[in-house]
Amino acid sequence: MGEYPLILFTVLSQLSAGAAITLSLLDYFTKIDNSAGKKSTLVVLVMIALSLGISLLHLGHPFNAYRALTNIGSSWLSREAILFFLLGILLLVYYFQWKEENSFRKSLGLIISVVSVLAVVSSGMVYVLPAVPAWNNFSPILFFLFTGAALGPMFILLMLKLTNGAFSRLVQFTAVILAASLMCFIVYVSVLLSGSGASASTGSQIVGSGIFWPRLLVNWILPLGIFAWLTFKRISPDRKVVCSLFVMVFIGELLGRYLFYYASVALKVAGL
Amino acid sequence: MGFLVDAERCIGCHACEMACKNEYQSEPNVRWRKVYPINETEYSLPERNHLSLACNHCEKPECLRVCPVRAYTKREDGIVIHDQGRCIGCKMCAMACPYEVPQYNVRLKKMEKCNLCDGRLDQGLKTACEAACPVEALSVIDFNGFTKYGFVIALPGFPDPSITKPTTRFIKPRIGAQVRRDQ
Ligand code: SF4
Ligand code: SF4
Ligand code: SF4
Repeated sequence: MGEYPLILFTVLSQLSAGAAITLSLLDYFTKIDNSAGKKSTLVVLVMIALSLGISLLHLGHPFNAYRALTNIGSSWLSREAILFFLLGILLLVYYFQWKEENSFRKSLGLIISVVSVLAVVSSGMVYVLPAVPAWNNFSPILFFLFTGAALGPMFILLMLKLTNGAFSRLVQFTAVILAASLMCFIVYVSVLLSGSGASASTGSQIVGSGIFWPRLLVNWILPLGIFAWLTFKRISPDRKVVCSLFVMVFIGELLGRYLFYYASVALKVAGL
Repeated sequence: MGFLVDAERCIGCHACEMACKNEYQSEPNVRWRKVYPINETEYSLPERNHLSLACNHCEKPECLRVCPVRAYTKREDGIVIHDQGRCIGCKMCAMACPYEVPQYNVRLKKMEKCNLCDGRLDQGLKTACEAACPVEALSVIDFNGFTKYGFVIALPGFPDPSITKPTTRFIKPRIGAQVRRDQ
């Protein structure tokens, strides 16, 4: 099965974390319809549970996965598992708070945002390994955060019936995030290619891979092109447009994560 | 404790690898000890040399740091032990070890690696690989009271020892004298 469970787990969990942050901040700063908020919370909660379930498929012994919570002292994998688990529990509590005006819910939302960011950061830290030079830097954390920030707001946009102001601000935010992540990706790959040894081979594996260009296209070029065109024509995007943008970026992120796992070259004893 | 690998003596016969496999009856695709050929262009003269490697029982083991279930422990004598009973097969250690030491056992769905024949050492025996080497190229050294010189911490092809501080030490191969016609 290879790394497919990890690809799905990381992208889905980052999408959920991004969605949880968007939802709780929107709830804090604006007014959200109660039933739509409740429904969105449930969907995000189910996605987190689903992604955790998928991550178990990666293990040789999924039924002993609870043991993975025991090494928070030094293992980022333990910390990641605990934080996503905690996020799920907090969202469950949040779900039951969707009644009229509720200040507890709003404060809980802020805690949820913080835990979501920490969870995604710890997911990134799992891959910061000296044995894999291409990962042994800030890039896994940065790109994981970008995934959450690109997908989460669009997902919540599609779940909620938002007023035009909030809607277009979130769309603009997504466009900015996509542009920033494209720039970082270009810098990252250039730095890898200009390096030597395992970093340079990771760079050439990424660029030489058959899915490099498809990924660039669906993850960045097409969505950013559509944003540019809409801005140029002064058309405000509707739900259909956002829905297709979401699908493109989601597929792009899955392809990108595939490249992340399969193109990385680890240190090893030369010879053999 | 650590391995001392004499690359000058080693003839690349793989007897150490086979003795290890035989001792632990490991799965067909799993080899705790592996004999690597050193790239012949690494030295000034092309020469066949080999590097017999297993777990390096590092001072700063990455496997131990990343394992989420604490399957790894470092004994007081320095041996890094992997407890298969705790392992859940997440493969994190395999990603983190720069020497590709932990290997996945597809039948048990768990990782495994060299535990420096801890059972044999505790009985006062030599490790299986050391006992099997026909040219005495392998030995286990105790770093307490270790006073000999002339060892190096890496040979060509051995990944950067500064990451995990392996305890394996090497004796360099001597590169043959050149025979040239006088000018
Ligand atoms: S060689 Fe690898 S498996 Fe062995 S102790 Fe060092 S890091 Fe751990
Ligand atoms: S595969 Fe086993 S020993 Fe290795 S990190 Fe995972 S749980 Fe620990
Ligand atoms: S048994 Fe000795 S000579 Fe043969 S490969 Fe192993 S270390 Fe080298």
